Amino acid sequence: MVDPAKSDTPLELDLRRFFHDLATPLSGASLHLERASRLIARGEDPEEALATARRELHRAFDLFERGRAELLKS
Amino acid sequence: MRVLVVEDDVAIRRGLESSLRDLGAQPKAVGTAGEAIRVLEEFNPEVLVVDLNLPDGDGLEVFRAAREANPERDGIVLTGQASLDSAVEALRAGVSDYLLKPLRPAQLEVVFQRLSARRNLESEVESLRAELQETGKLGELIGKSPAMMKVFEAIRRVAVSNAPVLVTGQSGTGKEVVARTIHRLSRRASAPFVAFNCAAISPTLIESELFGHERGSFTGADKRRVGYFEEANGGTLLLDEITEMGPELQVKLLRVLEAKTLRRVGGVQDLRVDVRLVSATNRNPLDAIKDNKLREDLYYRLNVFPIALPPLSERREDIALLAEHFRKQIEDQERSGVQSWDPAALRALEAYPWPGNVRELRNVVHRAHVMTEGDTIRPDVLEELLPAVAPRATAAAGASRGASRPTPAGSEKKRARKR
Repeated sequence: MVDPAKSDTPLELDLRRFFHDLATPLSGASLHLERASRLIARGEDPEEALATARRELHRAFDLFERGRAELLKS
Repeated sequence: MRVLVVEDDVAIRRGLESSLRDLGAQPKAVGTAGEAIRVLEEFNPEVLVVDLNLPDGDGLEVFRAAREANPERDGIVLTGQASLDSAVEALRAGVSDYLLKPLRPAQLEVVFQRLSARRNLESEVESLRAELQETGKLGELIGKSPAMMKVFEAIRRVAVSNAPVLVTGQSGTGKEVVARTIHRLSRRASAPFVAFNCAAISPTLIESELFGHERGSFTGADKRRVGYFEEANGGTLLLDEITEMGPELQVKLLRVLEAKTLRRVGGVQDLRVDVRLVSATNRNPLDAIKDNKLREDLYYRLNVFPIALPPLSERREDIALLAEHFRKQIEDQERSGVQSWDPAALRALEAYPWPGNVRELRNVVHRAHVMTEGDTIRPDVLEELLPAVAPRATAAAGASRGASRPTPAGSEKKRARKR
């Protein structure tokens, strides 16, 4: 079997990088949203977890918009 | 479980740390490969959760270094790029699982709990194996004889599978103990073990006991009842004395085993069940088929993995080990200061034929324990308890010792009477 990463075109490489970069803040947002739910269920303050999730989502949107602009340009 | 998280993104790192803590782990999180290597020895993690791409190196190298120091360590790899090469490389390095970013907390939970269950099972198997080597015990089963070693090996092999097991052996040989040990060593150990004796319940009630019933399905069924199959869902069900189950019910059992669904008595819905079946009989199953006590098609379904337990008379070398095990167990309960065996008493036990097998031996040891005055169980106590053959057994014990100890007149009389 051939690893697709080895035969990537420049566009495919850009796409891979874009998805990789986007996956990082999305992971952070989902983990901290889940953490906030657990804190609420235990009657604890979820504010800090929610603030982190908000910040990570912000980062994801920012990366998404920049990535979209770059990819459409190419 | 100590888990080292190695992830450069601070939000993911802290999120993983918190999730793992809530899953019952003791996590520690670091952001670089260098830090991970530095804390390995001091923190001594059992599991590593590593990002493949770290700012100062390769996450897989961190895992390899951790594994080299301790091959028992497990790893979960995190990556934002799914590539076949990296997955194969990670698996070759010995990681147990692979999580793709964006991470979903539910996936993390599934992967972590699967790993945790496997590690618990492995540690249970390891401790039982060590116990077996040291003391001749596998769970509650005792023995160092070649016959029992074969049984232990069969149990270990079959426990990790889901194959139905048919345990055969005379009454009192420990068929239920074998079933419990298989359950305890299996992946189902945390789910229920349910034992059902087909001979102990009236044939008309067995169906509703096994499969449950709906309210109003027969006179007296004033509420819905879950049967033993449903109670054992996810775990193991022992059907003891399987040949005592009526032929019609054997057909229904066969259907449940094939379809993995059942219908409660009076019910209209098929319910999915996931049960590992262990059945047992003290009859020769092939004779039971000839006598129309066991359907042949059911026999082949049940007998995927047969385990035949030897009678105690065929493993006499285990008798002293078993007797001492029971003495300790009983002394722990009774606390009457009975601490040892007179060697002649043990020889008497070894010479007795034990038609009731291990169960009979346990009862005799219990009674001998109760009747003993002082701290040692002596052969004269056993003469009272091993009727008919006891004189021969105790005489054999004396002869094998080469002793010419005078026999008390009273006990001679008893022997004569018994003969």
